[in-house]
Amino acid sequence: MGNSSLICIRLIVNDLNDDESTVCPMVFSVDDVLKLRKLGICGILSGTLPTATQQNIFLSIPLKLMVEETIWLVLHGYAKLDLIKGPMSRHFNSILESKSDQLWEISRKKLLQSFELQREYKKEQHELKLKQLGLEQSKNDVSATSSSNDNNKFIESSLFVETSNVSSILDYSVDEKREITKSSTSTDLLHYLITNYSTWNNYLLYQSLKEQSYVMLPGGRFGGLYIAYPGDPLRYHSHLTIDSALDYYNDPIDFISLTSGARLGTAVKKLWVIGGVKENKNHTMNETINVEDSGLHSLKLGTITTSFFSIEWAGFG
Amino acid sequence: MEIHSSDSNDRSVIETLVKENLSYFQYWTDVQLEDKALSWRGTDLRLVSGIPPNKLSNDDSEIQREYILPVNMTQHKEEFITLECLDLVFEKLCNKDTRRIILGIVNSDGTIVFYSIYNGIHKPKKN
Repeated sequence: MGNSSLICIRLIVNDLNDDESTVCPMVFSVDDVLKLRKLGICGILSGTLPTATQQNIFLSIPLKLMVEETIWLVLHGYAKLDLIKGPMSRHFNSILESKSDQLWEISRKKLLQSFELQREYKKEQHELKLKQLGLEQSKNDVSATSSSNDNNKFIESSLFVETSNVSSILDYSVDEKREITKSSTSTDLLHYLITNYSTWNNYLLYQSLKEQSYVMLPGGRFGGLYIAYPGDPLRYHSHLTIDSALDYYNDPIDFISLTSGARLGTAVKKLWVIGGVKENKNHTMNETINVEDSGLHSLKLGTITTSFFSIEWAGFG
Repeated sequence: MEIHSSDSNDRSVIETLVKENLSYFQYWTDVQLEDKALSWRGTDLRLVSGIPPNKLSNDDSEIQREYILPVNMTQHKEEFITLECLDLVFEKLCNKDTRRIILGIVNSDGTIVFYSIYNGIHKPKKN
C-alpha cells in the first residue's frame, strides 16, 4: 500500500507528558472520512461551519475517532498518525502572521480559477440552449455582441463562491512542527492512547467485533462502551450495547450494572453484551504494537479468543 | 473453604426462593432443581428448570423447558460469577444445543429479577 493512500489521523498535543492536554485522534480530510466509512469506521463529525456556528445537526470535519478505531487502523496498515503541536490558536496566529500574504494569494487564485470555470460552463450551456432553439448567433452580428454583454453581466451575478472542504492552513502547521513526530514513533503514541484513554482488552473486544463485521459507535448514550450496528449505521438499527471488557478469570459480573444496562437495552431493542478476552497468547499490547513497528503487522487473530454473552430482560420479574 | 462455608446454605436459600417465585408468582409449572452440579469457588452451582406459561421469545417455535441460574444480587462483590463461570455453566450444566439460560437475580428485599443470557452475540428478539 502506497504511503499516499494512507489515512492521516492527526493528534493535537501540547506535550505528551503533560497531564493537562487531552489527545483526541481526528481526521481533517473529507476524502479520508469517505475511506474510513468504507472500512466501517464512522467516527463522530465535530466541526461546525464558521458561517453557521449555531447549527449543530449537520457537522463537518474534523472527524473524531475512538482510540480503538485509531489503533485498529494503524495496526492494519490503513492509517498513519501525525502530531500537531498545540495550542492551535496561538499556532495558527503565528502562521497567519507570517504567511498571510501567501495564503491570500493562493486563495485568490483559487477563487478566480473557480469563477473562470463557472463562466466557461455557463457560456457553453447558454450557447447549447440557443442552438437547440435554432437561434445560433453569428460572431459578426453587431446586435448580438451587445446582448452577449448583458448575458455576461447575468453570469457574473450568478457565480458561486465555493467553500473549501479542506483547510489550507493545516498543511503549513504540519510542515513546520515536525519535531514531535520525529522524536516519538507511532508505537509511543499508540501506547499513550491506550493507557490513557482505554485498555488493551477493550481494543481486543473491538477488534473481535470488527471481525464479525459489526460497525461500532461510542456507546455512552446507552450506558455502554460501544453500540454495535450489523452494517452502516444509516442503514441498520444497532443491535448491541457492549460493556467495557471484563477480565475473563477475575472480574466479577456486576449485577447492578447488568440489570440497568439490559433493562434499558431491552427498551430500545438492544442486547446488553458483556465480554472478555479468554486467551491472548502473543497478543499483549507491547508485542502487538511493536510487531507493527518493525513492519511485520500480521495479526494472526486465531490465537485471540474472546467470550461474549448477550443479555436481555426475560420479560417477567 | 472456610470463607465460603455460609455459601452452601445461601445456595439452597436462593434456589428455593427462585423456585417458589417461578411457581407462585410467574405461574411456571414443573419447576425443579436440576441434578447436575458445578463446583465453583467452594460452592455447588445448580440450575433450576421449569416450563413457562408462555413463550419467552417470539423467536422460539414453541414453549420449551427453561433453565435458571439463581444468583444473589450481592454476589458480585465476592468476585463470584465471572465470564469463566458463565462459560462453565453453559458447558457443564446445559445441553449442547442450549443457547440461553436465565439469570434469576435475588435481591435482599425479596424481589427476584430474571434476565436471559445468550451464549455469544445474539440478535434482539422480535416483538
